[in-house]
Amino acid sequence: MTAGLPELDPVIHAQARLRVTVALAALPSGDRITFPRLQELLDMTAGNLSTHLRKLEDAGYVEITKTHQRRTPVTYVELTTKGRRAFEDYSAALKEMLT
Amino acid sequence: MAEDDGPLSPAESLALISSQRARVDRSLSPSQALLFGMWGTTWLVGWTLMFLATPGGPELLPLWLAGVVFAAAIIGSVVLSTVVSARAGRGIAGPSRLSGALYGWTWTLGFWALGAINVGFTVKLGVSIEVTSLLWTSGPLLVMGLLTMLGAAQRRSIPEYVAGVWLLLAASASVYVGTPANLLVLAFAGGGAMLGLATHYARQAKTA
Repeated sequence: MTAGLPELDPVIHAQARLRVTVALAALPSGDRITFPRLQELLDMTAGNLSTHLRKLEDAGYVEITKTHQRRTPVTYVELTTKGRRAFEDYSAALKEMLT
Repeated sequence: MAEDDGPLSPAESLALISSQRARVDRSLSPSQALLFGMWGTTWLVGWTLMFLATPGGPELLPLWLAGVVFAAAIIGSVVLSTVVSARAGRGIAGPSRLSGALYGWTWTLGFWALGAINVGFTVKLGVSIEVTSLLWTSGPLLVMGLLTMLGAAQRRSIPEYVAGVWLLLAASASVYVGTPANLLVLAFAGGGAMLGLATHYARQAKTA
């Protein structure tokens, strides 16, 4: 690492996306959460959450799976290994900045 | 919470991470304070009633009445535990669901087996009411103690482990105390341990 302050990941360093990432990182690795439950945990509108999830998905941090349960479409969201690592790096960078 | 996307300082980011994490954890796991509080109360009240009703004890109320009240409290606690756990796990899929289900079934099957064994002793060997009573106090405390210790190992909770060890001690002590006081050991040492844990978790939730 070069001298000076570490860079903060711009994908995660935005209030709403940070909250989404924290919620997903709270799930044990390998677990997935449905879109409505995630929305409820975060108290976000569906449109807002979709927008932020798309950005996280584009960065490869989040995986979105669409499936069916008894003919009802269900959307599952989970943090990828890359996303989990990025969140750990981000948290570590924050702590480094404050010491 | 506001959907404000203004720039965050590192300190604000860290604060947001810990507050959001605490909020999510609270919502995703059933309240341990509620679960232990409920089971502790059921245990304390139920076994105290059994003590008050048991032949050779104070005999302040009929045994069938104590049994019915206790059974109703147990069924109520099982239903509420199931509802609370299902609510916490809503919309979550993956490996943790399996481990949660296996853990839950371990309690259920453990107590079913214990019940079958105790009834078997009574029916097949015609053991005395005293032995029956001792079987019904030491067995549940032993199973509860071991499973509490296992849960503590999984959650890495020292207070929960201590409560488990306490339950094992109570299981052994109940046999030596003899009847009908063994029912009081079960009520106060068993129910008390769970109520103690409930207080611990309630305090922890308040500071989180």
